[in-house]
Amino acid sequence: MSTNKKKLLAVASSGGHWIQLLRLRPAFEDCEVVFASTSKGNASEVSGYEFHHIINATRKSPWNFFTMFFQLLRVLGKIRPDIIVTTGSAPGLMTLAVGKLFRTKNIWIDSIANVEEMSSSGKKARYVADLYLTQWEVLSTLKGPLFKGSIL
Amino acid sequence: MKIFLVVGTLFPFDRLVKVIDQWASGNSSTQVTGQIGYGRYKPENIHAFPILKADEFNRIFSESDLIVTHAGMGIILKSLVDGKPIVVLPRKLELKEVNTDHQMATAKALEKMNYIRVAWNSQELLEYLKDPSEISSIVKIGEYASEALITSIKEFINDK
Repeated sequence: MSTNKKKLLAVASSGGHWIQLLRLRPAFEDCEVVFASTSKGNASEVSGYEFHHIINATRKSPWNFFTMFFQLLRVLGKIRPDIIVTTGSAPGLMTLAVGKLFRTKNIWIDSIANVEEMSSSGKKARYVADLYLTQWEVLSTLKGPLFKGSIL
Repeated sequence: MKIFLVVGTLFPFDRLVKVIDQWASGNSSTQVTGQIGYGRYKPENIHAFPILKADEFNRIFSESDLIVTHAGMGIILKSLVDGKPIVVLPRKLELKEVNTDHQMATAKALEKMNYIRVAWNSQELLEYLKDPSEISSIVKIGEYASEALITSIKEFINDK
């Protein structure tokens, strides 16, 4: 379709992270948007958009990270996004990291459920995020994460 | 009166399921439906499912008068957007109900900001349930994130 629009991939694991991601949709309105999540059922909430299902990997299933890595290489190679945005989770972090191989601009918004410290994925996201945000002002620092508001 | 018990499916939360099941045995006029994940405790007085399909979940959600749940952001946001009354019992790390104590922290912060009612233990939850129809929604929120956050993200996208 219109080729001068930036391509944006919005990604998060299913559940609370995904619901927070959907609350950001007005921010993507100038882009061509593609969604990705760990549950196929989520596709119905973004009908009309391209949707990719990615395997879930957690600290309980670390071997899945290998599968996910190759899956993300394939998916990102196909989508070729300019920008990736995630509201957290290990799959979100991994997508930003693999995105860097494709020179994407990355946005990390740590989940609102991390009030006292950044999530474990969120701490690592510092190294792969170009816009690195927390949703709690008390957690923000000059070198990031920054606070720019919350999904509430 | 209909109550929807929502526990999340990543980890069991038998403490909450058990207290609601026991409460339900003495309150048969209230219909309780639960999405309770895969715990050990098998409830006898509530209509329980390990996991519900999205459309089924949404139907029960909209028919319910009160949501009783853990401090999961998915269900909290859904309830706030819908203006649905909600009581939250946060999972505790010390009881191995979750792998960090983020639910306690989230519940505390959201309670302080007046978004949710929190039961800090089973006893407090039973206090709330003495008259469940009296529990009202505290606040209703819009469908999207704060204007400030949306604008910042949009600016970043347009600059790149």
